[in-house]
Amino acid sequence: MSLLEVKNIDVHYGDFLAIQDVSLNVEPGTIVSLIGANGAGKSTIMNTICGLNKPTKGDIIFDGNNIAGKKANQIARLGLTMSPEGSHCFEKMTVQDNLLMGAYLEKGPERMKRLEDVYRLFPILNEKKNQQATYLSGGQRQMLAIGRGIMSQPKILLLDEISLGLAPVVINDIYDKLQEIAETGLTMLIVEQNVTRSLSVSDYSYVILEGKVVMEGKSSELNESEVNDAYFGIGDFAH
Amino acid sequence: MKMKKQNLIILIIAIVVLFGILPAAGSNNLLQMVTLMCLYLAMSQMWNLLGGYAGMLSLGMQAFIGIGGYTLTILSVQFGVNIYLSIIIGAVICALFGLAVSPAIFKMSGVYFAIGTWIVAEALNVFFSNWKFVGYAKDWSINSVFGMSTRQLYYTALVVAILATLIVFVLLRTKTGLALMAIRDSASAAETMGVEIYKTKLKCYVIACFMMGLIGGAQYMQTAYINPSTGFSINWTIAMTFAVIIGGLGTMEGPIVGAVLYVIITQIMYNFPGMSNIVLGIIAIVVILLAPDGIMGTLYKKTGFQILSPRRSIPKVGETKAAE
Amino acid sequence: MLQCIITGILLGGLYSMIGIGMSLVFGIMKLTNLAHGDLMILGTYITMVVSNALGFNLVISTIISVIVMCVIGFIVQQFLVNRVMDKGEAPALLVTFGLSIFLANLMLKIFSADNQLLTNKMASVNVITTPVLSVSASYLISFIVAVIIIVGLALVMQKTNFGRSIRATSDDPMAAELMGVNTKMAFAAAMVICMGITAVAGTLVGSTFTFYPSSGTQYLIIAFGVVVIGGMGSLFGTLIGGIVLGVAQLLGGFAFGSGVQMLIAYIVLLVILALRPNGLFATSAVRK
Repeated sequence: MSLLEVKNIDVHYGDFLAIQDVSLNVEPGTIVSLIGANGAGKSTIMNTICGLNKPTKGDIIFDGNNIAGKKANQIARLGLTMSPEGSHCFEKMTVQDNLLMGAYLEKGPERMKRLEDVYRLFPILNEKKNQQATYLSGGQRQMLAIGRGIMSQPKILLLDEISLGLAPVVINDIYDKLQEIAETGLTMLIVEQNVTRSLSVSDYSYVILEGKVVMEGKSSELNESEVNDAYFGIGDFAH
Repeated sequence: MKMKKQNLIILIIAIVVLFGILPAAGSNNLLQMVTLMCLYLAMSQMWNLLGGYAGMLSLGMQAFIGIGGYTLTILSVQFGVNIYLSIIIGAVICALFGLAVSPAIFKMSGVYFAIGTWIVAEALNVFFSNWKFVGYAKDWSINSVFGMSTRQLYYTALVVAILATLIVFVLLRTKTGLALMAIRDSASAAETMGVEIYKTKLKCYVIACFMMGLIGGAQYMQTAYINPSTGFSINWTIAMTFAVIIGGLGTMEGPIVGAVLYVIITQIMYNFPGMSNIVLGIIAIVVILLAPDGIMGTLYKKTGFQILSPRRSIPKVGETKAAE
Repeated sequence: MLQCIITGILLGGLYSMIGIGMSLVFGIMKLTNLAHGDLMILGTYITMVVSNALGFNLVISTIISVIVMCVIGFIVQQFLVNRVMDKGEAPALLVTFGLSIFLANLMLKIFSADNQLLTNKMASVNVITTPVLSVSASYLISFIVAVIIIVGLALVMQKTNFGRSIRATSDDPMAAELMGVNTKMAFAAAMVICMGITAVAGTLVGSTFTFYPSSGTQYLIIAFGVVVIGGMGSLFGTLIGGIVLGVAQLLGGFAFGSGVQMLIAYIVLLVILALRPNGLFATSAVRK
């Protein structure tokens, strides 16, 4: 059974139909990626799943609950954690406080142990744990955002554009860490603009074009040049 | 629905004629009420110029009402200067005072500006209350205006109201108006567009200060006594703010509708002492919660109705955010 | 001179009490509550009514006043502020302005314009009385209460999960929501705390100075001054802000006569505002 099932959702911004009849499935223990150009609607889909946007049509079933239209904080309580585009660290708070905010819903001593895990994964965060997040570099902010996401020990982690604006070497570093996290069995739904990277890191991919799913399949079986055509809406995908 | 030019001119002439012959037709009571409406209309029009068009929410315009009132009193009572000349000098002093404090308060923005201007007014209140020459905080009766006819007061107020409306009307149709709207919508964009924000704002501010002084003078012509705590009272700002909120912030018709309603409501509430501002406060809150654009703003959004306001923005049909 | 400075510092404690609520509300929800002064005076009147009508002493009356003000704070937040907060600066400012007008005039209607003072034993007692220096008990108590509340509040904000969630909400409401924080409730909780503290400030003010329904304006400006000098949202800043304002006022009164001491305070405030238009210690607040 799917952990997350998006069923035929529409999303409007005012009168504008941003997302049209999109369906997705995320199986437990897998990494699923959304691929698409700027403005294709990937972030809108992510924001709708986590409750920042409301779908105008359709259902979103997460872990047996229909979460469509629920508030973001209610959805977070069910074990769905999202790291939004642009990391959105708590700028004025220390790195450690940021991480502890990730475990906001949990009060027990368990979270101190998890803090250690995150520091082991991202040693740089341990070094800077008493600094304000605003002084971190772009890559460190992403690490902090991912670490904060893990802190909540979610059933699924949504990561939106974690490589945006970062240097390639930093991106490699972060994706290596992501592999490590994946090995713990954490389910993830990620958004990534880079097709090659997206296909290599994920188990299953959806290509989004103009608010619709135009192609999907096992990442290992998708043909990269066809994905590229779908991505840009050329060839068979021209309209 | 935007009125054609000749219709507009006819309408304006009709209104002016109507107001011109009002003293002949109306009772003294009515005349007094319309006089008040004119004064509040002028105040609100000026407050709206700042708050609605220039993005400067001031809570301290009572400073200039007070200065206007006191200048009238000092000059005409103490030095025997002609009343109208006193009022005009008062307005000039207000403009100069506004200019003098502008370097300080223009550094502030948003709430800092709002409260900064308020502090200036409160400081004036304390200053006048401790000033021997004006008799400290005591009432000072303005005996130079005793015996002025209701009609005379009415025409003075009418001229002030027409002047205030005309100034805003013309100002918004010049380059200043364009710059103002650009500032209000996006200060940083306006800056990069080369609009000289500071000068434009200052122009509006000084004009508003001048007019407030004029209005203050005209107001105290009929109040006929003054003291610091009423002259520099926050109640003036309450009245202006109320009229503009109810009528519609950032529309030219709003202050007119709002001022008329304000006077009517306060007249009705006159029989329930102490209730007036309570009711005004509640109405203002309800309007902000339910119809934040005020009467005229809401009307404009629903029907596109406007007479005096210049086209403020492209109608919001199909306005969309970016998809991502 | 020494007397002025000492009294100024102690008065500063009272001023910072007045300012804390406003500072927190601004720091957390970027809202300037123009009704802050009136809400505080409302707290003072509630204390007065409770102690007069029910004969409780000032401490118990204050506790009741705190509870009532917390409820009022919650109502104000849920039904007024939360509804206009995302509509931009002007509506939020104007709605609290409307509330201010409403409250001030409601109190005027109920309590009349008469001067009032919370009668207590402290007002006339001096803790220290020497030829050069005397310290009034009520000033000293205000100062001590202010320090205790500021330190306590700082600890809650820094060390607890609750405090962290409030800070996170003020920092980035969307991200806080994604972490599972009900941000509207966090705002409401912040407002409730602020109103509780403000009610305490109300009692302290009412037992130190005479008050009347329109006193709110004066205390709004004091609160604003404290917050401007101390930095919006900074707890220890409010203590410093209060002390600066208190000392400036009393030294001004010492130099130019007591009638103009508020004038001096206002001018100091305007000068500070002109020089540092976003507050004296504003560093991070202006970043965005």
